Amino acid sequence: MSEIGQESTEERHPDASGLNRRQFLKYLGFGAMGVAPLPILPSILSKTVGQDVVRSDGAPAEAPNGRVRQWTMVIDLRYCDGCQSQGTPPQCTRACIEGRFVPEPQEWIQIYEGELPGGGTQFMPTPCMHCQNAPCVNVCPVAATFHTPEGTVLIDQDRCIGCRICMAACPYDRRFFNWGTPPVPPESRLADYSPEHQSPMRKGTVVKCDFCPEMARAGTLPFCVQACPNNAIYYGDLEEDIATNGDAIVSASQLLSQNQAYRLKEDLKTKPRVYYIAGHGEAVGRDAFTEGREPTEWPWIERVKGAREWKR
Amino acid sequence: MKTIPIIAVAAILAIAIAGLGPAGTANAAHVVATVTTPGVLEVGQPSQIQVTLLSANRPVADTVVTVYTDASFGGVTGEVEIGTMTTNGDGIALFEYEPRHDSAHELRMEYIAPGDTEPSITGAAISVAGASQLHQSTSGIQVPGLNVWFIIAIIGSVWTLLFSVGWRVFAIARAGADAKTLIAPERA
Amino acid sequence: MEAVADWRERLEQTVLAPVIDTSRWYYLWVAFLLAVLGWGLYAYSVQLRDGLIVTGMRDRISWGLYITTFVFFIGISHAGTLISAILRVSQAGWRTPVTRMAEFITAVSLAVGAMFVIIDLGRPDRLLNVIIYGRWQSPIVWDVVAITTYLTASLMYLFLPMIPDLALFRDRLPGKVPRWKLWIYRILSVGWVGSNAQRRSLASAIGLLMILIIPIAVSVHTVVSWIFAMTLREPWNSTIFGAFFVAGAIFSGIAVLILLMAVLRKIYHLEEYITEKHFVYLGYLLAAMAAIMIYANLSEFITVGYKLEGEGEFHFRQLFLGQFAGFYWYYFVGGLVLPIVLVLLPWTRNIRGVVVASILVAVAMWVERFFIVVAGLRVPLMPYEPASYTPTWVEWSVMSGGFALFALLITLFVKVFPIISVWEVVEDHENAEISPGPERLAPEEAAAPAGGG
Repeated sequence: MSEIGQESTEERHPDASGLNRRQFLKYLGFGAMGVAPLPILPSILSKTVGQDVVRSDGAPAEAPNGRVRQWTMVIDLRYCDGCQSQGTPPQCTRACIEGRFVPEPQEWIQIYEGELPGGGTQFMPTPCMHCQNAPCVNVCPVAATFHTPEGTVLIDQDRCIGCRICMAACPYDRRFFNWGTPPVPPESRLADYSPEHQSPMRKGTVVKCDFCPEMARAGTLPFCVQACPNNAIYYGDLEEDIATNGDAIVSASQLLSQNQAYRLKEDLKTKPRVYYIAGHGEAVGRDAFTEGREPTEWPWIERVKGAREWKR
Repeated sequence: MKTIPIIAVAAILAIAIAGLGPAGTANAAHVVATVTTPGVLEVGQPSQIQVTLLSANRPVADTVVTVYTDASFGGVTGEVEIGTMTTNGDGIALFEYEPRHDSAHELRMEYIAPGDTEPSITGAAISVAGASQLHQSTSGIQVPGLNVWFIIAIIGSVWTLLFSVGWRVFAIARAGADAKTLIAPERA
Repeated sequence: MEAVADWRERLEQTVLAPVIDTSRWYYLWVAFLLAVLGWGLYAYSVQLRDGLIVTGMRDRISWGLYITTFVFFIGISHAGTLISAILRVSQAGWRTPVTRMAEFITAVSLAVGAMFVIIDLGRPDRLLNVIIYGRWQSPIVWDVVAITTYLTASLMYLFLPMIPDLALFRDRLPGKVPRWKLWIYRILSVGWVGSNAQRRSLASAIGLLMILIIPIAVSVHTVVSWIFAMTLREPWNSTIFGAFFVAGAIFSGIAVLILLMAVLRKIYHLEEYITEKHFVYLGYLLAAMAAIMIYANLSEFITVGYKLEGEGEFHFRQLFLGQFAGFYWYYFVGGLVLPIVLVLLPWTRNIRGVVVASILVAVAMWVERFFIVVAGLRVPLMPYEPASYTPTWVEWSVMSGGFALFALLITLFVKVFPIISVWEVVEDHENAEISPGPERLAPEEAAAPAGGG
């Protein structure tokens, strides 16, 4: 519509006298009105682009036979004592922070201390659940958070507008916002940005655990899996039905079914890709009533210019 | 169905072990394991693998057979336990195997024959065909009948009506111009 | 007929007066608003420079004053729809003197409300991504579409019935106002001379639009509520939210309209046209909406509270007894029950009583938006200590700036555009002259013969 308006504008302008002048203004007004429906364009655009824009950096990880890997994580809570026995802050969180340059108050994999219904507590390492029916992906207005063919949920910080509706939508509290310039070490600025590792970190955008897909593709395990002293975290591929905690290699389906694995907030039908095996660290000698863990620390000696920490 | 009789590797192993180990494991030498697999397996298709344990042609019942395969993932290589089964009164154990990667691979079965303390081992080579994707990652809201065209139709009709209202402004302007030229000539 | 001509002349003078004469107080008021707005702009520039870290929002309570204010402003934008469209459809004659003000509120509050979403963005520089990459499944995109449609429709709805009045200004004001104003009137009055063809076009345009704008308005606030209701959070994920928000929107819209009426009536001496009856009628509407709000509250809380499972208990505790109890009980008692009492009691059923009720309601509805947003986000999703949220000076300043902008735009509007729909009031008056049905007598009609005679 606006083109029509403009065309007419040029057509009419040269002989702008009395009546034509008014017509010119009318057309101008009409042209301006033509701009107004712009917001309906996204619906048309998104249809042409595809309703779920799927973008990640590399080609999806493939098993040797050409099928796309379906990353999954199984956390065996029987082996997680929140690193109480180590006397250190949780090692998965520490390794994740160091490996991923996680800004100061964020713990992409966080150890929650949950109460057990029968008394005592359990430690629950909680990364992003990488839901297959992800509420955050559904509500994102710009497809900045998206599903990959590998079944992970990533965020493109170059597209994110910072509206934070995904944070409101996430039922697991697993999304973090860079409220200010993120306090990260300067070397993190050297990386080439990719949604798969999220560095360099952008101000005013949402970030979260990315499941380390580029590392998995290269055949190494995510930082948290590598760092767990009790090998409580398994990382695997549902497609090939295989998982490893860095020590043993198991069949993912066997691991899940034989141990009555569950997913968090199953009733919400978000279909997470992170499974839990119930426990409270008993396999590594933790008593359910030994509460508390060492607080997480951020090891950065130097931070990028202008960075300020905030409280979560 | 093709039957692959296995001259039990187990037997050889068991003899070797028996030679070193204490007496009493000798019984194991008499257990003959026969593994039956379908000839061609397909990725994602459950197939039955049958292990028959016979000792002097009499079935060995209530023996747990564990199945392993070799795998490598995330820099870790090793044996993966893919299931267990127990022999019935006929000495037959059925194992539902759903192969997940296509290749020729080796299944290894372990069982502890009655009276033994050390496991006996048998195996079967299988070949798996097909490479269809089993897991698809989908996302987004799927409500039948509610799609982008429905929404475009609603928004489109609302905006069409809005434009038709806007159009009447021109009708007013045109009528005004007509009236003016009738009443008084427009200023130059 | 002499009386009618007199009456009409007086009406036109009243409406022209604000455009011609400007008092010192007006400039002082504008200066004050500009100062507040400037302060808000400064605060926003701080936020742009440092990021949202300067606000009190954090990961757990990630929306605060800005979204509250956004919902509030979108809410009061329903004033225009209700008063002008619904009352026009139902041919309530008494509405005519107040429609214009209601439509002002609609257009201005929509613009200001939409602005608060942009203020709340972490990356306002990427705003256009919503258009470039928009996904139709996102409630935010629904919001953008609905609000744009509503803004366009309500601007048209403000403009269309104003055409004859703009023509009046164009004809009556030359020599009395600056040239740029005349230029505006000449263009915007689109050559209106009041011919029959023009009247027909105008009538059909308004007729179509007044029907169209009601579903658009309802959709807008429903969609705003869906930003919350489409999440999986216990206090938000409720089917009543859409209806509840629409009711709340109309409720707060009436309150703000009454306040604006009271202010403009006082300043521009509109006592003859905006009478006690208007306040009382709108007061009745206010009370009716308050009753609906009470009903919606009970309906929602009883269905959730009876089961009291999951996060519901935490939410109820913080809402009724804990952190938000003061807000909640002010809202319920001061914002819903008390206004009904004020309107229904005969000795407070007057301008003062209704205005007091409206102030209570306007504040209460802002408070309600606040605890819907903040208390809803505060309910812990995982085993962690509930977060707290204290708005910072930046947020308060930016919010004040937004309110100042709202007031400023209305203040400026008043100086340029007719605040009363002259032609509709006249038409009403003429109709009444021909067939004065006593039950349909609008207040100004009752007043007119006395004034004219």
